[in-house]
Amino acid sequence: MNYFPRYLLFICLAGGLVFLASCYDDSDCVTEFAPYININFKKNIDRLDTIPPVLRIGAINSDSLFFNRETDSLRAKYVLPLNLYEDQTRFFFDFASSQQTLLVIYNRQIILENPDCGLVNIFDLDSVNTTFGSARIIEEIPKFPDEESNEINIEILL
Amino acid sequence: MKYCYKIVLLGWVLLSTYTSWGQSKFLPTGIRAGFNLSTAGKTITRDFMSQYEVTGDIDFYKYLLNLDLGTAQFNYEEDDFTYNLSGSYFRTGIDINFVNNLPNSHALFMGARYARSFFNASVSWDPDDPYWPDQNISVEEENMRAFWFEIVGGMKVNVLYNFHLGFTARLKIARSYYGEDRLIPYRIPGYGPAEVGSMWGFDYYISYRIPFRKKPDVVEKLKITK
Repeated sequence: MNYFPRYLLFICLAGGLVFLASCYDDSDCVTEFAPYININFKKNIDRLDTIPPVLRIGAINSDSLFFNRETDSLRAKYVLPLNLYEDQTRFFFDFASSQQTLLVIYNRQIILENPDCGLVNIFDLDSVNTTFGSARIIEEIPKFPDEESNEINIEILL
Repeated sequence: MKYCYKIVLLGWVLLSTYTSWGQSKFLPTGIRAGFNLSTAGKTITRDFMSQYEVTGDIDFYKYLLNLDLGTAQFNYEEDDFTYNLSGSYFRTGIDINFVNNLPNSHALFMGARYARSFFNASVSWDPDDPYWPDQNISVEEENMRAFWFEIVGGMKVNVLYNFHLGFTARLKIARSYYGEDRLIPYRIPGYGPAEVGSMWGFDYYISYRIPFRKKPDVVEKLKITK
């Protein structure tokens, strides 16, 4: 029993030190919104960027327009948000004479990044289908808006 | 839990076989049962978690066969989401007691553990997305499992009668979890943050030792003294 004071002191010291060493930093918040995909239009012949004469880009089940020719300028690359409530998003592309669609199918997982930050959707692109040209997945993991990535997720050959 | 029983049973059979060869010093001298004070403290001070753990060990000469059993529940509630995770876990393994020859059954030990966790999680979320009409996302994930290994060290000191106080420092390594489909676990009961592949842990314990018999070495010393 005469060992007791020394043991107790060691327990307290070791406990404090290990407790401090075991602390770890919480990660930074990402965002609570669903990720976006970058799509790139290219010519089938030479694989160079091409600018399709699209008038509007939107999605089924969304009231928002992601591109409107009346206010935006035409380009070869577009950034489109994925539907975080479903496992697929069907985008429509309005041209002067027709409406074409791009169906993006993906896997969704939810992770609690941090109790203070909230939940985050993790998406993983599975397949794409389009009624115009041919589409293929280049990068399967879409980025979040605050990651500012120019990485192309889907390439559409016209 | 069935793995837990099997491991304990196997350990018992192996050691019993060994002791039957005439190595009487390997016969257990007592069993120690205790309670994790760290998890109880966290349960009291943190409103989002509730965790309880009991521990026990039995000695075979200078080796201690350990078993920890625990249960944990985590509830995170914010304005736009509720996240619940609950489950149970066990750890089992062998320690070497470096002060086995001291009286009063003190222990200064190092050892290893194998641990498993079984848990369920659910989330209800109302994300505020600018492009899609607001909906609720509800996901339930059942029968998730995890396992990991631990390298442990610590001590157990007899402070009063058969009561012991002590700590265990653990290096948790090789964490692996599976069973998740839509919901990636935030925490693993008994382990900690699921995203961390290896980490330190530290626990204080209070325990009570029920002696079966005197240690052979102590009996010998008593005979010599007389």
